[in-house]
Amino acid sequence: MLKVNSKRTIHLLAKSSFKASRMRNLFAIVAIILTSLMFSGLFTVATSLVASIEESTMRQVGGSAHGSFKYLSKAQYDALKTHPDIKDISFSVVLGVGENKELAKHPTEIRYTSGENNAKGMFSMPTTGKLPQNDEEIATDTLVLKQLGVSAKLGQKVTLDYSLAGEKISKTFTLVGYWTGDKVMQASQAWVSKSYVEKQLANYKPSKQGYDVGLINADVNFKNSFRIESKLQKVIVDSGFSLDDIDYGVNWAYTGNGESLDISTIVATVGAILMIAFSGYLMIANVFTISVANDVRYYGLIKTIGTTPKQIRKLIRRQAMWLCFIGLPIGLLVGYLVGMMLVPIVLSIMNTDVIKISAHPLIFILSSIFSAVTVFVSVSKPSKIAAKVSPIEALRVTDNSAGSKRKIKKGTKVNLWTMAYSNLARNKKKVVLVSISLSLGLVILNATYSIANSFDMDEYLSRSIMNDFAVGDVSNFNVNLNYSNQDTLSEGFFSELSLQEGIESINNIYFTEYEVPTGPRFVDIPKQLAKEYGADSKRVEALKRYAQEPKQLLHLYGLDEGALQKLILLHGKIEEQKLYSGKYVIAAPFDAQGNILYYAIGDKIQLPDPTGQMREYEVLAVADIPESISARHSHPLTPTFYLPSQVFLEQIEQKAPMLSTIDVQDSAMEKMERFLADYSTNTDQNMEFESKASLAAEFENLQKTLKIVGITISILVAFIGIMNFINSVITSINARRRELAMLQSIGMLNKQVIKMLTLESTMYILLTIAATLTIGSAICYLGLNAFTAGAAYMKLYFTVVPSLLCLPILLVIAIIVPVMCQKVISKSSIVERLRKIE
Amino acid sequence: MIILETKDLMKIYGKGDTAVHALDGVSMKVENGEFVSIVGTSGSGKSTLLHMLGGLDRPTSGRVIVDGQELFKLKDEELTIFRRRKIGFVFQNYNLVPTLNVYENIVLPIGLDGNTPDKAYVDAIIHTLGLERKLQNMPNNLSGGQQQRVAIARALASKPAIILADEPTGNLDTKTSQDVLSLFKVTSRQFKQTIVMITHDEEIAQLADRIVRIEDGQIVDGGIHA
Repeated sequence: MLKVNSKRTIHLLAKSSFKASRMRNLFAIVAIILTSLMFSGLFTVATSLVASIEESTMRQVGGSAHGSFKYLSKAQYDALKTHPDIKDISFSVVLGVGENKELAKHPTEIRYTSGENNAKGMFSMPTTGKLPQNDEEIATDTLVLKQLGVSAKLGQKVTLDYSLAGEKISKTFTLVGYWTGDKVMQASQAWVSKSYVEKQLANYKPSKQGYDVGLINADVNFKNSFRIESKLQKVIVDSGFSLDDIDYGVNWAYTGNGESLDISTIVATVGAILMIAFSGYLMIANVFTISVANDVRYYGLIKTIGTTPKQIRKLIRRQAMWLCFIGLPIGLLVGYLVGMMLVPIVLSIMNTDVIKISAHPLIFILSSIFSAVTVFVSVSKPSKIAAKVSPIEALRVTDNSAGSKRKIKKGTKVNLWTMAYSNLARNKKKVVLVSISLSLGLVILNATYSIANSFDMDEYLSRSIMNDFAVGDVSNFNVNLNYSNQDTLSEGFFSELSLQEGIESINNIYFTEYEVPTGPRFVDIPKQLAKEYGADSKRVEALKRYAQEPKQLLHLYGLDEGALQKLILLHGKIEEQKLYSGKYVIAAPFDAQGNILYYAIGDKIQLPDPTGQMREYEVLAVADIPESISARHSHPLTPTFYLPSQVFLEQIEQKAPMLSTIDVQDSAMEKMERFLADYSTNTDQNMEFESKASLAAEFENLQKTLKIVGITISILVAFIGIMNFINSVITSINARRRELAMLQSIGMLNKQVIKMLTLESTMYILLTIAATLTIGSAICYLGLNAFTAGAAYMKLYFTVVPSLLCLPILLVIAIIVPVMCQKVISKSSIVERLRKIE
Repeated sequence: MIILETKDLMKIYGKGDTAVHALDGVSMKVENGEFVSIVGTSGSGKSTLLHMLGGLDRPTSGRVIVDGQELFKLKDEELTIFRRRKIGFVFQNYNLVPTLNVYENIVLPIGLDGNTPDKAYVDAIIHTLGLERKLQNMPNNLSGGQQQRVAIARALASKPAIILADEPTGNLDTKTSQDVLSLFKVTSRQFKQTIVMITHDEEIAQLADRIVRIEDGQIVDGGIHA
């Protein structure tokens, strides 16, 4: 009996009421756009982040395949390749490693590849030319060509040296293909033809021991990247091998290696989703609650005619759905664009170089689902209210839908303030909703300003750079690259640098690392750590293990005078004379505060000189090196020492500097920047530089973008809040036209009516400001605190000034609206208004 | 045949000292096809009684039986559906849906019930009430008398068991009141409807077959069919 087909009638009612609520529709659409915008922005940033980190990892690993089988024989490969789980499989065979001295710093593998798929998977497919076919052909990347001094042109001769079975071979090939090399990758490929490799390997017996020359390296892709390891194992077992027979590896770009999927990322993402859903809920629910409150009579009316509560809910849901159809696509699109703007900023905060903006369909699917759910959850409460409207209540006239439960009013004082207050108290819920939606915009504005100003430029710059310029190997500036003593600053560079004008000082930092016996104090470090900082037992346990190793990797710096002065002295005195005598050394502490030491003042340490003889040094002082001029990498236990460059070069090792810091006169700043940019792009691509000016500009840009995005969002949210506010003021005055006329008929002046009405709307604003400054600020502060605590370069800065600056605007609106309303209303006479029924 | 019956209907607002007995044990019966008017001064409880009869409000105690169904044994949803099938309303302020045109207003309760209107029947009502030319108009373009005729048409269209009218002429001038009411009476005869109308206007009340008087929440005259 309950099931009736009233679709068409509900549709008709929904359509007509949809058409009649233009203002509500506008607000709701803006609210829905904002909600879906924030969702799709968030998901764009999140997926792009994962994709960028994934891509960055893949490029370091040197391949995009899900996994690989290593050191296979031809028979093994043929057995594996037909497995039904495998989506595609390809392989390459290593012939050797380029041994030209020009390639010493640039690992280059000589291989043949099974084809285009394999080369593409290894990011090494020629973009110009083709893969080699005959014995004389070769294809490689521009980095290798540059190192070899061959220009990137097809037909050039390329000579490669390599060893096979202990025999040195040198062969000249013709270049038939090349592609742009990627500095992030750890090794370059030089493709030669299959026939060449097979001929060379004809008499070679491949052995699995340590090296993979002549063996097949197969790259595998599955249908998806879930549980790659177990899929690889299944292929091996299913093909009749045991897991000991065949080596396999999972591309760790797919293993969620800490960066892409750790708990805090998940918590942050879920938190952001909830935040967005909540603010979307506030906005949309407000719009609908106010519209329902205004239309109570309407709902009561259609209820007396026989519309069931269920039908009323359906009626409102249907309208919400239509609004979704309009608002969602716009929001998704704009959100995606905003996300694209934000991705580079977030990535630069996270120190990732590879920027990949994802266009994964999941972004749009998920944000649509989340936005739609938010809309329907937001609408469910107002539609329940509408469904519960008592038909009788609707027959009376309104704006006390919350019901005046007070039976007795205490106190006898009647003035405009108390009247205004009791007018507001008629519908407390509406007042609360309007104030919350107004203060939401203000809170977001405060948060935006606070976040943008929490970025600490000085902290950022001092961590990244201490001089006007810093020059070094690419790997030095990119934490994603493994630094292994590939210092590239050449004499050629320094001689060209010395020709530049306006140089104030050049200070070099030399660096080397090698193993030394574990010092006597190391055993105590874990205990001290636990005592000093109450560090968690996991770290202490790990350190205990490391401290028991017989040898430790030692970091040794040679510092020019200017760099020596930048050391942060913790214990003792840096006496230059002693230091330059070559008998003393400065030691670094275990912790930044200098409470826990590897070596204390007076301790002795033996370091090998270039001939391998041990030399003894005494610790003169304990000091720490600023991050920006350090080697920027460390191990759990890293004993570190500093020597003057002079001593370092004479007594330890003759080598090129790791880093060179340059200070120039202000007038020469731009020239120097141009020189370095030119040199690092055209002459030495392995060299990279950073400049204070460009880092500062980048930083300011980041702040600016953040502000623009944040302010736009807060303006839109505030817009909805203000519209809600104006809407509720106008409707409340409109509903009370008769009552106001009655007040005037018994002697209230028009002026007094206006004053009472403005007092009412001013109270909204005061409530809003109160909510913003108390609850809003508390939430904002806690959120910021958590956010800045986790981020480098951020110092908590919290302000409520922007919201206070908005106060005058809100007050002006609060005064103008009721004044205008009463002006319009008082055009008709009091008697006319009294007689009017509605 | 008795189409409407109330038994010991009580409605009390408030509690203790401040309790107001809006209805104080009302029992009455209405025969099928009868035109009954309920009269009383304002505050006598006649509006409350009508709301109870129509299932718009629940009584504190007592029963209302319409067409054999005890109203307040139904859940809200069921009650609404029962109401739109069995009870037609005509209100003092017409209560037309402002966003729908005249014809849509008239057939709205039928559509809400998931039915298609009985075209010939609805046309006959429209003809009798003289609304043929106004079908496409919006309610706010009609005079009070016209709006009330639309409301009557709407009440009749779903062939209810009973029509409840709450001061149907309260907003109309004397001349229009007479016109509307005689139309009301004619259509109800023609379409064999039972009508219960409340009014405080003795003259209007005289048009009914029977007059029930109510004072202080109690029936003082005419409660049981003679």
